[in-house]
Amino acid sequence: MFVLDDIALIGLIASLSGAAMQMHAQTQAHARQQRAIQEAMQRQRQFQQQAEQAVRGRTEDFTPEAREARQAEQTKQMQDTLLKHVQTYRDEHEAAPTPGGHLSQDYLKARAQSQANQEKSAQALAHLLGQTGAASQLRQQEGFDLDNTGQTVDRIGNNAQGTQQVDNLAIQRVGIPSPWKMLAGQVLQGVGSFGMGRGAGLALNGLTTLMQIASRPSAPQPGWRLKAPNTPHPFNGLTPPANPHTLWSR
Amino acid sequence: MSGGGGDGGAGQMEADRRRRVDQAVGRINDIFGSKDHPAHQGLYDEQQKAVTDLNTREVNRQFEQAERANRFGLARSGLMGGSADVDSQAELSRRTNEGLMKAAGLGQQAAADLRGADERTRQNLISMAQSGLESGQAAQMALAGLDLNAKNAAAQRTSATLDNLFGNLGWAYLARQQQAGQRPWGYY
Repeated sequence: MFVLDDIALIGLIASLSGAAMQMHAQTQAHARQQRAIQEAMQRQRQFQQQAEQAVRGRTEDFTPEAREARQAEQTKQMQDTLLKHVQTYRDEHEAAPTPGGHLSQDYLKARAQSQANQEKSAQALAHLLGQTGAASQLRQQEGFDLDNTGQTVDRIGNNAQGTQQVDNLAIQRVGIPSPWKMLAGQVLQGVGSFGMGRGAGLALNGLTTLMQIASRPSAPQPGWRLKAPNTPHPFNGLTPPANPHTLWSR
Repeated sequence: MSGGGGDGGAGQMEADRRRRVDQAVGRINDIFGSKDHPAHQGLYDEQQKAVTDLNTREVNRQFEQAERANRFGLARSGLMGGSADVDSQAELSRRTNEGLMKAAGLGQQAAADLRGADERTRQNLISMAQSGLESGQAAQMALAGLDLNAKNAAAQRTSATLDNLFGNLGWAYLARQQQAGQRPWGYY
């Protein structure tokens, strides 16, 4: 009786262990998948931050103060270049010859005044040309900078997309439970089922055997006596059928 | 990137792709230089100087011609040393300065155009590099692009592009002065 229960119990334990092992493998796979998903999201967030940082840096270049400062600097630079060129030309070339003979003071004064006015006029013109040229060049440079930023964002986007694809594959892979653990669990469950089946069969046989043993006369216990089989009832005189459980009485 | 190795080699392929892109972009940037330190700044400066000088020579030629015509016209009219002389000299000087500044501006614009062409070439190549252009091909195409831009820039150095600065200044101005001189009250 004890041996039969042990086999069934071992089978039950094995079956439960197999199920537990499979569940553990699935839980581990699920946990790994969750972790991989979180890591993938973290990586995508980092890419997003990189792109935002690149765009933010470019956006700061477009604040009115920054643009005004850059344009003023560019204007000054171009103005200096233009005036320097005019000055260099004057240094290298002779001025218009002064007429010979007696010249009136009015003429000389007017000529000097005219030349002074030309200096102011040249500076004003250089400033205007510098402003228009600087505005044009500044926007051209801003266009190039925007293109550069766009390419940087594109590159980050490409990297993010590639990483996402790789991560998706990895997430799918880590979501699959360990085949060895699943196999071991299945084997244990199979063995357990077999053991339980075997134990149940033996138990049924054992029960039958027990009933057979119980139906047979056996040695009397101390203080017990064998009832006389088929003795007539003392009141009605009828003879009861044979009962294996009433073979012995105190 | 996922480093678990459970991606069937996709991670390694992605890393290889990135390395190739970085190599190609790095090669292109080596050839073109950075925005603040372009590798061909000398070429841009040379282009600016060449275009400026070319147009300055044209300004000088036109100025000499106009100044001579003005001087002879004044002398013929007997206006040398007078207010007409001062005014005409001022106008000549103003137009000369304007021409000189235009010449310098053209030079600056030519350099900016050349730099812009190089920058566009660089950005096109980087776009191609991100699409899978190998670093060797990128370098080859970068040099070809630079060569083409330099040839186009050289074409700008063949002739001055300034218009006629002085026009018929001498004749018109003198004619007006002469007409004024012929009037009894001397004013126009």
